[in-house]
Amino acid sequence: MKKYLIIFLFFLTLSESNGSSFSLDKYEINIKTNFLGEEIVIFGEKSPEHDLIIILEGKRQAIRLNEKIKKKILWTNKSTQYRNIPNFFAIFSLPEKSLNELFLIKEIKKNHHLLSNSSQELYKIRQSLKQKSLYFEKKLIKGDENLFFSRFEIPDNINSGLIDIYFYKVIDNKVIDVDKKILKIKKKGLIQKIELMLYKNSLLYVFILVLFAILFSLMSNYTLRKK
Amino acid sequence: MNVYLPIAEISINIYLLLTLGLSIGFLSGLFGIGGGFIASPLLILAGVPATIAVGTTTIQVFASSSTGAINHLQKKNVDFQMVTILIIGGFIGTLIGVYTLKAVNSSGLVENYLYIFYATILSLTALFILSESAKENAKKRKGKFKLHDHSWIHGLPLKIKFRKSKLYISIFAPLIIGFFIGILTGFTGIGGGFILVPCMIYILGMKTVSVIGTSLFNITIVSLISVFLQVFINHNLDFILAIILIVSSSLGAAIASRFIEKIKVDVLKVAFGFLILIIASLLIYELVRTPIYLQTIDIL
Repeated sequence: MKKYLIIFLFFLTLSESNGSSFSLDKYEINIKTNFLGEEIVIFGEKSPEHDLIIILEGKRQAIRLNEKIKKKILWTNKSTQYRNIPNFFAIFSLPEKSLNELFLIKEIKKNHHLLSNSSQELYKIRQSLKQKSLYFEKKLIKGDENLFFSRFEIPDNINSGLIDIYFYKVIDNKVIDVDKKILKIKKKGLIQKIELMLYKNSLLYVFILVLFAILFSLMSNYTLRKK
Repeated sequence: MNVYLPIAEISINIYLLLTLGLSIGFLSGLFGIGGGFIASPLLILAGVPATIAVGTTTIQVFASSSTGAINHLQKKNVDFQMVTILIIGGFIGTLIGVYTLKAVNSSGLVENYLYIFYATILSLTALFILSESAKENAKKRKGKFKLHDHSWIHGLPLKIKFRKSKLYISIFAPLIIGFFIGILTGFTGIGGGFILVPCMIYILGMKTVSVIGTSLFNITIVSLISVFLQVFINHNLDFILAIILIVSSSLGAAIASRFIEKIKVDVLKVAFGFLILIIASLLIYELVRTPIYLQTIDIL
């Protein structure tokens, strides 16, 4: 309910202006023990003179691409490491543009190297990210009076960190303006404490688990076992 | 209902994990094993990353073996001379196993190696148990029964007397066995009871009465060492997954204790052999079947 109230208020303020702008219903996602992914609504206003492309790009980090190769009867992995690959990538456009159309926009290709049609490896990486719901292409839904919106899911396997959101205004395959916002993904509460304890206080981490293991197995042994 | 695993960084169905834990505990209680060789591959098959499955299984093995070890300690069924040597070998082996896991993981081939390793070791053990059971039955029928045959291991130097087990063998024999079990624990998360017990009976020639206590005590200490090493070196022990596994497998083991007396030992041995064979077959199938995805990605 709160989500839709924010969107409604945003649309009310936008109806006075003539430019293009966008917003998200939230700019921070907290990963807690019950985290199953989170739906986000992206919305805004689009001027009729230009096209819109919104790109969400997660933190660039090292990845390992595992390709299954059949050796006689066994399927084994052939692994290759790559650096500077975004851990999350999403593309929204209005009107809807195919990946081939996006490849024609030089500025976008330059800023987001994952969007390259020249590399077979990058194609494989995009496909592998897609399998993990960490890559998708979606169209923005056009509403009344140049308004647009779309819903998307941040999956449960997302890494914590920042996701940069680029808002491109494009005319004739040329970027005329760009706006940038940030979506924060944070581990919170027990999840954050557990991770911190593992890396910063490993001895306490082991001690708690070992103590729990001994106590619980003794307790179940004495209470449930046949006398 | 799903639960988020903070170190594995995935959410997974809690009922699936509880069912897995209960089944692992039930089987380990029924067959008197730690259950690591079932837990580790099943967790990987359920979608838990391989290294996290291995690391977290070690605490489950520790939990399931520690109660039994305490019971046998109270009954004085532990050969401390033997277990000290096994643990020394086990410590060195575990250290090598944990570092091997780290190296294999960074090469991206951890699932391949683990599946091949599990499938080989489980198939060999199953065949060994089934053939030994068949041999014992044949010998019993003929009326002559000998616990073990003398092999090359009895010719090793540095022999000492193991008073509790009434053995006079080289310290290298338990040291080598402990070392290999340690590698297994460190690299695969398996406690190794299903290999250690037959080795103690058929190779070392130990008495059955002290075999179980000594084996459980060794598994408890070696898995504890492995827990420390996995956390400090590989950071691959998931707290939430560990708690779920400890709770469900302890309950499963306790439930199994109500059934165990109703089943004959011979039947139990054969069933155990077949169970290992089934798990090995599942792993072999995973290696030969065409994968759903020909490319996967690991974010490092």
